[in-house]
Amino acid sequence: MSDPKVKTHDDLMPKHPCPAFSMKHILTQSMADVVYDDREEPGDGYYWCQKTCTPIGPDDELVTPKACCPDRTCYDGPRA
Amino acid sequence: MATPNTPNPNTPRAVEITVGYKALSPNQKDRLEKIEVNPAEGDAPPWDALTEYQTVGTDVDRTDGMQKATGRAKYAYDISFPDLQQAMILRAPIARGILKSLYLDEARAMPGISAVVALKKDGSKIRLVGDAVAAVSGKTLDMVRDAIEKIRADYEAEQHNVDYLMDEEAPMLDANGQLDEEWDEDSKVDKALADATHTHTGTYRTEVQTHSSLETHGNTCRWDGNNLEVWASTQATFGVQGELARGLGAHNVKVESVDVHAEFVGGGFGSKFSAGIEGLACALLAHAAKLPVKLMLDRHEEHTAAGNRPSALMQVRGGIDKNGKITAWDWRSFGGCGYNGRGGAVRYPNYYMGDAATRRKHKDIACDTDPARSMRAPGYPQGWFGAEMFLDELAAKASMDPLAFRLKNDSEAMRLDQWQFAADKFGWDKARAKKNDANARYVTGVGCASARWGQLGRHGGRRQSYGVTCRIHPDGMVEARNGSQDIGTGLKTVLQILTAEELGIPASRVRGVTGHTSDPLGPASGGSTTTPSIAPAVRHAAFLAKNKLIALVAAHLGVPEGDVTCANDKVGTKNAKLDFTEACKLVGQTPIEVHGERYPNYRDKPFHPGVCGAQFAEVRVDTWTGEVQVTRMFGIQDCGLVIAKKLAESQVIGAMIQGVSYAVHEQRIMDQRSGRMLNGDFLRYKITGSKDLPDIECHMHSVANGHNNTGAAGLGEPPSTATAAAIGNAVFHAIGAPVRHIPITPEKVLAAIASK
Repeated sequence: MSDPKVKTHDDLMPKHPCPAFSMKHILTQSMADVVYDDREEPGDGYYWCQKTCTPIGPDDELVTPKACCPDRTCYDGPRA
Repeated sequence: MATPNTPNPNTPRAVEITVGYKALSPNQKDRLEKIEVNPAEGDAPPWDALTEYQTVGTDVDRTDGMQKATGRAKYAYDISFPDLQQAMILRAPIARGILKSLYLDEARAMPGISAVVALKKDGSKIRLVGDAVAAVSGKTLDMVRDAIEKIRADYEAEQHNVDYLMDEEAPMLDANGQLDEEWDEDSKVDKALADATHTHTGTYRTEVQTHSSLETHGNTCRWDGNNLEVWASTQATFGVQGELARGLGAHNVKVESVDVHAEFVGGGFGSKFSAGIEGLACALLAHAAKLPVKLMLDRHEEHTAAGNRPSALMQVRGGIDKNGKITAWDWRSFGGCGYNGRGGAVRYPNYYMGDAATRRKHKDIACDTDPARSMRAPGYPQGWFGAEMFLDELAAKASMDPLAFRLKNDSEAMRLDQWQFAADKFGWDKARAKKNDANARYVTGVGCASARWGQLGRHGGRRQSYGVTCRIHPDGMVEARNGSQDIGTGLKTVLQILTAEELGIPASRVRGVTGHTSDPLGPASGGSTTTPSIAPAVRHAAFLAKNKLIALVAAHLGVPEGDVTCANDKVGTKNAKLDFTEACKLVGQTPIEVHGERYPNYRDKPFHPGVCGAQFAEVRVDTWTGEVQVTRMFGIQDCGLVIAKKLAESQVIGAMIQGVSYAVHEQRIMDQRSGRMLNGDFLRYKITGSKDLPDIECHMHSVANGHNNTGAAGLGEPPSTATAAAIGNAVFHAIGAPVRHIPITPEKVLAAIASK
């Protein structure tokens, strides 16, 4: 049995993130790494959109793991 | 030779290996143990602590050192074509507001201008001074500058704040810079503090450090129909490939039609994962102009709009028992972030806390500046500065030597050996016992701090594992190729050394090639992941190529393949050997070409899950002027198997230099009224220069970890965690009062002396 308290970056990632959502841990294949502190979001906090190449999405709002979901108007993938 | 020849690539499923390390000094013991590991079928057999190496761990020079030193190395900045267009970005002059309107026609009509693109729409938010608004390309930079002046952009400014401590969510500080707020109740921590023999509370601060890579962010882009070729200054060739394909989707661009090159990169430190707005703008300009375009940021843009290590405010209260063991650790911290309000989290060395009652709280605070980006051990140098300085102050309360205090509390056995070894090398006892004359103008002090990271490499993505192509050419030259970038850490040399070791040939006969997305998949260079991820694939590729060469030689000599070895630049049996170059002639006209794969790390527990290090610093302080000179440093660092000794030392020394800079020099100064950075250049944003450098020595601690066929671990980040803290503690020792806020400027030193 795995320890239910052990969290990975993947665990902190909401379901169905926008395919254009990006962060370092995705590029370094580190999403399965265990998170050793009490952070609430995955990675180190710098997120960007692959469509704008900035931390601001096509809708002029911030790129965040929670915000880049199928409900967002600029969501760039099949809806969940 | 290091690796026994195994003609049959089916490695046994369970292999017993020896892991650990040999004693660092005569008064220590070997820490070796046997473990059983399960390599993947077909992988190269694992190296371990008993392997005798010919090339690995030796002083091989950086393979591209001469190219870099003589200017023959071509960076993104150096790429040139006929009709190459130069480009610049128009940036917003306000820190917060709205772009009301943008008129580009006049700029388009300027002489020599090939393209103008809008990067924001009317009504877009402006989030910092330097927000990208539009981009222009033209024949010369002067023409582009003239055109940029013709762009009419109207803004509606809003009230901004560029100091996170002025935000309404920021905590209150007292006149002495100490965090002035009550602690929330926590029964366990409160009880442990009440029961402690000694307690202490301290507030620590760090300032924004910009990345300051010598090569600024940027690209050169060239289109051929729907195919795009990009020369990027990047830490993620494959990342930029995918990102630009998506960003340019409207132009019918697919991933396979984007080729990215980054053969040489002038530093990144964590800020060059994304193509960035400058990358997208460059591609869009080149598309519109139908000409190749170069867009590189200038130094001011690099300081103001290309990421940074954010500032931090940390407060710790803690307690120890009568034996000097930490029993309580209460931590609260605030990250000073940019407009996205993220990325300011700090970490601290939790291996000192043992069974202590602990609590950690953190909050990020946004302000209207450039967002934080990953920077060499994100969150670690800040947190280590606060925590390790706090340890020295706590030790002082108990009248304990700081090193003895650490030896009592550090729970990592490997670092305990390192502390003792490094302390002897540094001369800690003698330096620490030296008393300064109470009336002396110049005083000296020494301090120490620990280092840590944990990166054993990965096998690749969910769909594809990392790989390496190895070619043995008929002329005896060998190539090892991977598509990842070498950001200056020395990946090309790592490819060279590992291939040479496996084939039993001199490193000079191998060429390591990196930085082209046409080559096999590799990782982005982040989290100190590149070498530990790629190294096992390099070995596997060389192992497969070796076996093919052995088969040819065995057939030629008429002997069983199992009798043939590759060693000492020869291939053959005890009685019949060919020079390696002679053996390669058997290859024929087409080179041997194999694809090595990066298998997952062994599922078995490695010798150590991360890496350890320790650093010592000596400073001289001018008590009249407050100037701090770091005079001497010693560091010990493990990174699993040390593959390229000279380059590994260079990594550690480089991290320590960057740490000196962080501790005593670097500080972004923002003007609250205009929202601008006042020192966005290397004249006023001081980084450590050659005359500021201490004598630096380091010892690479090679450890056989037993986690894959090679056992390399990440190195780029771990040594950067300790330096500022060790220097801070040395200043505390020198002047007898802590300076809890870096950079440790003369003003702060004089204030600390006056407060005694």
